[in-house]
Amino acid sequence: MGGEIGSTEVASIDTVLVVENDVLIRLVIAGYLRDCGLRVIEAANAEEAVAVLSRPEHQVSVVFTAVEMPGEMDGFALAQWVRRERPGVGVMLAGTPGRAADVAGKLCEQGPHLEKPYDPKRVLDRIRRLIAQRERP
Amino acid sequence: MTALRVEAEVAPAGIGARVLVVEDDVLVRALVSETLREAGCEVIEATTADEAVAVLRAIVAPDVLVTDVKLPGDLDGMQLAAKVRQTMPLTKVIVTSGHASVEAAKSVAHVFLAKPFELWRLVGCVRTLAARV
Repeated sequence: MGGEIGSTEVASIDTVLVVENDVLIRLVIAGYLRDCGLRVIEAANAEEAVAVLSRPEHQVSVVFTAVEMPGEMDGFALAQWVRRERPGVGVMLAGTPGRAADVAGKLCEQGPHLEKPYDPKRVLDRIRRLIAQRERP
Repeated sequence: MTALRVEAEVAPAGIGARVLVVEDDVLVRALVSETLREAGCEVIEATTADEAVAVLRAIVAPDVLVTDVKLPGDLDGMQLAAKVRQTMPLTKVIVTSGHASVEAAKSVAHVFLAKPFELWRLVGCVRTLAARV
């Protein structure tokens, strides 16, 4: 990965670091990306993301981060940190849940959404999570 | 991983349980979650008990809850475990801590793992508890 936003080199991506403070959005996006065959590490804020990126055993290819997050660093500050400290790592910014879904879809457009035959429990769960996410103010 | 001794040996894959992991240390959480996924579990991650409560409201009850005791926020891991035992009787609970005692966890946990613990032990506990669900 050369750090290009929206790169189509999906097949070469091994690990995506998803940074999102809303747990219901995070689990939907992370689950979706895993279903597409990507290895996903979850971080709840920028500080956690920096902790992961500072460990050599986590070979992160792409950081997929929300823009608005609590704490000293928001998504823009994290993106700047990554560009400065980990220039080989790609950064994708998402400003809303809808935008995050669009970005995740592009990131794993070559992968299946859910493998057939569908596990009904899993499908039901996915639907319930999405509904819960939409119902939140 | 500061709190865990990393062991390469992991139990055979195929547990098939849904596990909710609640841990505020991102490096520990990532290691534990990835190990359980490799063992065939579906893992949902939460960083605090408050996040875990939000998850539990949105999804089907997990087969196993794995929670640390010391967590930031309104609830600690013991309180979360008690809440789950009360409202989700089929969910098995594993409490982990580097500070709390077995005695303290006994009333709310099916299993207590003192930190640091070997990952194969956690996988073995999840496998055993999930089989009882």
